[in-house]
Amino acid sequence: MSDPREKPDTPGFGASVVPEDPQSVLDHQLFHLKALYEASSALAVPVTPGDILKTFLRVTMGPLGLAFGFGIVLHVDELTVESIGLEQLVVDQYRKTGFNLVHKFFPGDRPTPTRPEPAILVGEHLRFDPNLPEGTSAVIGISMSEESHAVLGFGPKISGEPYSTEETELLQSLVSILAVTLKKSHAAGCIRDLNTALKKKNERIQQALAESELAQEDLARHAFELQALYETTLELTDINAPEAMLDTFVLSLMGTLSYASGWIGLYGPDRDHAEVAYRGPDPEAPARLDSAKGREAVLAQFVALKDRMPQANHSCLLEDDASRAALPAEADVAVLFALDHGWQGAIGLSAPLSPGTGEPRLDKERKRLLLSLVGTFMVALGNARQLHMIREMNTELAARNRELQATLDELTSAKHEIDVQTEAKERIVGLVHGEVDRVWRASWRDVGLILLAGLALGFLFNFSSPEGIRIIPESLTAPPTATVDALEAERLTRTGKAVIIDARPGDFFIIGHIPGAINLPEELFDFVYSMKLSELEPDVPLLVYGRTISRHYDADVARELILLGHEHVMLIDGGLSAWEDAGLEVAK
Amino acid sequence: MIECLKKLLSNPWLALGFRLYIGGLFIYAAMYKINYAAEFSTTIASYRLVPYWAVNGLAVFMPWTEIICGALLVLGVRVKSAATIIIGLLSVFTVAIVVNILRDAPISCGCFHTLEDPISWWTVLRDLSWIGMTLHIYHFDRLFQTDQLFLGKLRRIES
Repeated sequence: MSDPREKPDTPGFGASVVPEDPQSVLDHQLFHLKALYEASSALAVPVTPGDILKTFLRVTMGPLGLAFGFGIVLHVDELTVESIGLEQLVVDQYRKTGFNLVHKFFPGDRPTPTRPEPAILVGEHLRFDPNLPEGTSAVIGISMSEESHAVLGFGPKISGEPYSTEETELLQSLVSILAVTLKKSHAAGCIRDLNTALKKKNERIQQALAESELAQEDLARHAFELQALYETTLELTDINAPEAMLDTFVLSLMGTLSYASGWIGLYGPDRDHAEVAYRGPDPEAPARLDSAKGREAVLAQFVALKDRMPQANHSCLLEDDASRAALPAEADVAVLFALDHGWQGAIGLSAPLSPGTGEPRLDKERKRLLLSLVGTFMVALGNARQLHMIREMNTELAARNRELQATLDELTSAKHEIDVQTEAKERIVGLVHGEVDRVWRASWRDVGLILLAGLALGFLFNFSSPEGIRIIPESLTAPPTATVDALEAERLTRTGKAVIIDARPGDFFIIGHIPGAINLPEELFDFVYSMKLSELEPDVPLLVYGRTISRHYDADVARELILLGHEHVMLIDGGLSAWEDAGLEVAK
Repeated sequence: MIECLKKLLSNPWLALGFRLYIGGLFIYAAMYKINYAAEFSTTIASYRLVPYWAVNGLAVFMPWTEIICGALLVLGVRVKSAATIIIGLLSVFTVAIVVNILRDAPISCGCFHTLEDPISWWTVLRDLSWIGMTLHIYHFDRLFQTDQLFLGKLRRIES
């Protein structure tokens, strides 16, 4: 098959019919222009490729007087086949195999032109092409885009004449109009498809928006519920007293669920254990709730629930109108709940604040919120009760601790006392042992004590007694007396200028003394002095001697003599020993 | 015979007799010295064994020690300690007497009075006998000891 895009040159099978006169030429041109105008007008209306093809075949075959014509438009995978003058069997076959014919014209490996450029192929050889209907005289290929192509075929003229040059040019012009129309149709189809897709998308967006709004509302409701739960939890957490918690929770429930009246009755295992909170217009409701009848009315609802009776730390919505009416206070909404240790109670809400709805009940979401709030309340109440119990236990423990501490202090004191007594006993026993042992032996301590006692008593007695003596001898502290050596003493004696006095006791004097010496012991001083020395002149030198390691007799006597007025009292240095050592005579 | 002699010599009653005798003797001797401290000072000085600055102090201290020891012996309190001091005092006296006998010092003992016979070997023998008696007391005395009676009661209380 020939390339359809080949520029159709002069049709091979039709000689050009040249009009012989200008009027005829003008008539032909007018005819062609009218055909083109009609084609343009006709093709401006249809929108689908099928209608365009039908219209195009009609407006083309008529002016040209063709036997048949067909058109195949392939857009993506959609095949449109239209024909005029062909048998229905052939048309049906093209409906099935039209893809092949189009793909033979447009293999797909060629670049798509920016503009639809139709290619017209005419010639005798087309008559016998097996892919084309028999007698086909012209084939036209149009490519709109990579995926949109059209193939058209026309049969011979009815007159049997070949296509003239003018007819071929007319056909080419018509095909150009068709190409533009198909391109527009294709574009319109694309726009239509896009519009349809956009519309669908818009619908989906609208649907998603509606869903989003619903989700937002749902989210807002959940947020409200969570906020309500959070605030209720926060309020209840700050309260430690169970009584105050009941009142706070009633107010919180009324505010959250928009009710003007609410109450809570909490009943312990004993009859006198009841805690009530009421907020509403009925002044007698608190008394009814707190009464034994109120208690029985609430607890009766627990019994009536039978298997659905809430267990510890669980709650149950009271749905039955008769059951709610039996409660001790008005309740459009009522919840029964149970705590640990046999505590049970009921919560009631009445008089909704949104009368416009006319529905005092709660919807599903608000019921869930109510039960969640009640759950929070039960947890907080349980915690408060536990805290209360812990505090009581702590107080009790503190009291016991104080008692134990007091007992411990007493025991410690007693132990300390026992220790002290034990230590004292051990010391006494040790002392007794020591004393007993000491009695049986000589103790240096006893010896020391006896000597110390003797010393103390002796000195004490001596100081207190008028007969006491000087502990330190006077000669130790008195000023020294003048001395004279033995030879000088002997010279003074020999010249008769001095008197020698022996101050020692008489027994010593008898044993030996300086010749001419007068024995003047201190104990006989007054007597001997008055007898022998009182007549002496004060200026007569008195030479005194006599001292031992234990007593300075000479110094003592010399001091006495000086006191009596003797001016020249001297001690013989070395005493009798010096005298003897000097080789002087000693009287015995 | 020897056993009898030993038994006699170790007899606690004999020790009690010695104790009362020596105790009384020291009390008696101290009485005079306490009242006449100046004279006793002269007696100590006559022995010429004590430095002159200590003579008066010794004259005041010694009689009271003697009288305390004598009293303890008589009362039976701290007998061994008192006997130890008495033995010491008698030993000092004996040595002092011996020294002065050897010096031919013309002094009296001064044990009881200022005026007594001069010291002699008899004086030494007398003091030695007193030392013997005190030693006997130290070793054998166990009767009528007051503090033992008292402490015996304490021991019974303890047990």
